[in-house]
Amino acid sequence: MRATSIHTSIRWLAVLSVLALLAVACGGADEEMDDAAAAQAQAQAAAAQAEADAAQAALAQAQADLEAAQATAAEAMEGDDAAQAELAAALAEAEAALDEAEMAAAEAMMAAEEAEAAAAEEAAATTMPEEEEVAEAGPFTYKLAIFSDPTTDNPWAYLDTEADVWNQYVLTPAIPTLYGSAFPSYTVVPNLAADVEPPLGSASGDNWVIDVNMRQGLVWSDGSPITANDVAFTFNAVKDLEMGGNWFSLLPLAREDDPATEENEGAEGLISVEAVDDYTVRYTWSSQPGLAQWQFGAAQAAVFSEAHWGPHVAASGDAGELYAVSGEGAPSGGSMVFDRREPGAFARSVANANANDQGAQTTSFSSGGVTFSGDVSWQVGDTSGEVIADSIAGPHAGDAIYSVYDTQDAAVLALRDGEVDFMLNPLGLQRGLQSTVLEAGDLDVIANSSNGFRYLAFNTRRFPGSDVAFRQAVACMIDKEFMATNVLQGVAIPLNSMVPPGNAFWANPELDAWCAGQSQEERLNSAVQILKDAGWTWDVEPQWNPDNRDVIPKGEGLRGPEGTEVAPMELLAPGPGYDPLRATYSLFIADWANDLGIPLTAEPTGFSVIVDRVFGPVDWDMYILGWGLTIFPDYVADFFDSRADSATAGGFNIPGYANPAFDEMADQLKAETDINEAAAIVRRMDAVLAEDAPYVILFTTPVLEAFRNTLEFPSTTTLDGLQNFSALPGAVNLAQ
Amino acid sequence: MIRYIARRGAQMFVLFIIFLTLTFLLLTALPGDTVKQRFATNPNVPPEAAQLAIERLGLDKPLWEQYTSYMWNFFRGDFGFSFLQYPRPVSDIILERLPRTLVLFLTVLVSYYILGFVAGKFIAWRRGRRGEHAITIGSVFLYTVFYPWFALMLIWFFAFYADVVPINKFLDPQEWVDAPFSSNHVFMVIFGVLLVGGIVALTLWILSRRIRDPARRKRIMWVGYGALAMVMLWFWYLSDFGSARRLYAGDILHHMILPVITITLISFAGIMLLTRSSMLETMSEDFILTARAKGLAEKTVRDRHAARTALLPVTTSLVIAVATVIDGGIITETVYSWPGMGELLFTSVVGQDLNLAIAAFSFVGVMAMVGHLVVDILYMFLDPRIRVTGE
Repeated sequence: MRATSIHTSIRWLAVLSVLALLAVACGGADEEMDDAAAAQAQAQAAAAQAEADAAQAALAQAQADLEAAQATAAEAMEGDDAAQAELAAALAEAEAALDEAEMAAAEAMMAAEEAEAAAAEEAAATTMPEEEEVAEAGPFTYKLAIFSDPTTDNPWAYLDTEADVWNQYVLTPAIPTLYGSAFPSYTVVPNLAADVEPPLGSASGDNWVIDVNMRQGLVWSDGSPITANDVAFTFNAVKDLEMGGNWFSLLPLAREDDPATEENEGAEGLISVEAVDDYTVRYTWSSQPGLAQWQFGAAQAAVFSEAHWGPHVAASGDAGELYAVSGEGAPSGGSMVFDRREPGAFARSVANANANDQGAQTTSFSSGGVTFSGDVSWQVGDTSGEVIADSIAGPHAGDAIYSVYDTQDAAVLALRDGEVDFMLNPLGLQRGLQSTVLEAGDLDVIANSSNGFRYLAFNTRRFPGSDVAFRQAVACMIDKEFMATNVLQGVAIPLNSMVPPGNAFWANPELDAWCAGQSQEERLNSAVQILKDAGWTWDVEPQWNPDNRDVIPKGEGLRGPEGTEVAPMELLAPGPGYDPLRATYSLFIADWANDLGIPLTAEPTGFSVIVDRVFGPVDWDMYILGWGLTIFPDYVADFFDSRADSATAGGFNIPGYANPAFDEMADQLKAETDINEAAAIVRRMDAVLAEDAPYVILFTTPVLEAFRNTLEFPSTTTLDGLQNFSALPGAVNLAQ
Repeated sequence: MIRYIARRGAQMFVLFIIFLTLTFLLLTALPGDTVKQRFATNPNVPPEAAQLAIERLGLDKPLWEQYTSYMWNFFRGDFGFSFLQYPRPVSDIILERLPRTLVLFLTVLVSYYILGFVAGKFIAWRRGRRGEHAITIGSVFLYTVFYPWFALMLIWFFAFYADVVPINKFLDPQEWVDAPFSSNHVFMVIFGVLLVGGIVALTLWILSRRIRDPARRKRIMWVGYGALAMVMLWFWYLSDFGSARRLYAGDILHHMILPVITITLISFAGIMLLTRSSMLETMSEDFILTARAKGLAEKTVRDRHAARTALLPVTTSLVIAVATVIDGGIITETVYSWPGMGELLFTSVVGQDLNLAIAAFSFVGVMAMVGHLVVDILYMFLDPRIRVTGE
């Protein structure tokens, strides 16, 4: 019996020993990696010291040679003027060489000292907590959390089939454009272009030609110059390989299969892009392009290196073959170079040592103007307002690691633990995790408004959604303030305009919600009046009961102006698992509609179910969905142009709204080349839509973002949050 | 026997065709499609671009044409390309995910089966005592606990608060940024080592059972296991190939500790209860009474007579579990940010990536069918009462 116990004890000891060995082996792996890094740094320091020693030896040799030469010359030059002159010149050269040698030696010594310091820091870092590593000065590793694996490292594919936000975060810091947006004002500013504003061009025969001058001296990360040939190459590759997705809007090619071509007897759009010389690129259009096509389209299209991508494009039979090529190490024209991707775990980019405009200062003003001061200087727009952002061009980070987490809970723990410095997420931080983040003293959470909205849509193709009074009455019953304040507890921000107020230049601040500021009783009375005025009737008219503070009786037997009774209707909305805000909203809207006598039932369901129903046949009544938006609001035209009806033309006009006056404004907007005129048109369109109510814009949400407060951003007030620009590796810095 | 296996193989093939067809039809019957999900809500992408994507993915063809071309390509080993990661081949994505799932879940499986079997044997033998009640209540509590919450609590405690294991993922990015190998390569090496080591250990165990002298058997077994351990140590520490990969393999194993512990704690109760009931049934058999009557030690009766017979249903369950291991665990893989086959199945179905989803399901289906066949064959070997009769 005793022997059995001993045997059992020995077995347990053996098991425990194995476990301990495993733990030591795993932990040892980390230590060995740290040791390896320290050893590497020490080796670098030793190499630098050797270089410094060599430079000193060379300096001593140079000094000795010079002295010897002086002595020899003194003997030889006596009585010979020419020889004296030659000697003087030779001495001057030798002294200059000596100076250079001294400088080289000094630099080598400094390098050796720095390397030694780095080695010491590296050695110390192996025993230091990570929080302290982040606080160190100089190039640093910027660690970001992302919530989905980037699906490609090929920048061409990212702009076509793989156009998702995770690829965008990782790949955009390497992609240059002729023009771009200055954050946070989103003013169009030059990047590769020498012309401060996109030129408007001129007519040339039947076409419209725009010549853009490019800056000289800008280079790719491999040191080769960025030229007009790269711009033309990118266009031709997109055209030849028939790339789709976002390329359609970035480079709106004149396509022979475009329906507009048949009507106009000629392809509409961008016909060609050519390099006139190395630094002049010519865009030829079928007609003068509007803002959407040019300033917010082709002028901001990506540019890729012909030297690197040319052979791949030539070898590709179609776009798919090009998209299969890895983008690792491809030349970058931005601040970072995409380095490697470990699928499912992380992606990494490193600082572009040849980044253009490093150290240049960009200042943005509240009036929308931007100034730039670097190798070149320029000013765009009105700079009379307050400074809202002031930044020095990076990259400041030595490298950036994007770690993939599947849940926000894990990412928040990683943030608190120092594993990551910033959480990149287009939907922002879950509100419930905010307090967890703020418990840590070195973390902050910031809120910005998002450039998007959630909306209620009516099917205007069929009764009763086809009746504007019906839509207005439903809009009147919806109390957005009540929903935002009392029900959704401040998580949602009521919205009335198609353009969120954060996009200030284009927004229409004068728009009011239907029945704004009214009580529930007043809303009911107003809605009833709207319907009555349009000829609607009830079998039982809804009444407000002041004793019960409710609608008693509720409306019944609601009939349209022609006596047609409103049949039971469905309100499709995303389920609570997908979006609890919209699911909750749908229940309230159905309830208010029931008060009015509309037999509406809320049907929270899957997102793909709604998309399939509303984009397909017109068998639906009302739905709630949302849009993420662009800065240039030409989507207002796309969403309601009767020629873009989703049922007949496959466009984005899902409600089937048809208003010739609106279509005319949509045409004006697309053709407009003046940004102020375009803004005025957008505001008029917005007002028409608010009146006709094919959509009832419900709310937008703030984007919460969590980050380590040792970071410094060019601006912390940005539409759609810091993830749009300020928190990306090329812009972020360590706080001083 | 061969005729039996051939007949079962033919049945399995027909069943697989039906399985593939049903999978294809069910997935295509889902509302919406991948292009609508990707592009329909992006106003930057005009309808022409969406149409181009539909044509590129072959979704404009009639359903029967999609079906026939899919089946034809499938049986030629061409699973097509992923819709969500266009133009990446589906086989490439599955080969990327499979090793991660196999390494984690096979380890988990071995871990919780051993723990479950040992605990089940123990509590069956100590029926009615405090130990049985404590272990049963504790394990069933873990079995029924809300898994994501429990996993998050373990992450919080061990990874964040105690800081003894990593918080998430299967590797530490900082350690891998300059790695000369891909993680997939290292996973394959780990899998290969575990597989070879496991086979050798199993072979040793089986061969040692034939030795009648217990003392000699034990000596040979321990010498064999010791030799195996030495070979492992040589591989990881002395061979050029292994030592170059040791640090990275160590990092992955370090990240495996918490998921393995979590799933083992959650799952071992099922095996424990199965073993317990099987043991109780066996213990009432006459041959156990005979063994006791012969004066054999209790431990010998328990381990060599009762437990061996009770192992039969556990073995069946293990083989089926091994066969279905490649579907991973969606919750585990999500909570621990361990992107394997389970997460792949989920994202491909939600994203309506037809090619990827069908191929992933077909792997699960094939493995499940093969698993059932293996169980049937194993039964014939393990239980002499079962024989194939007639044709």
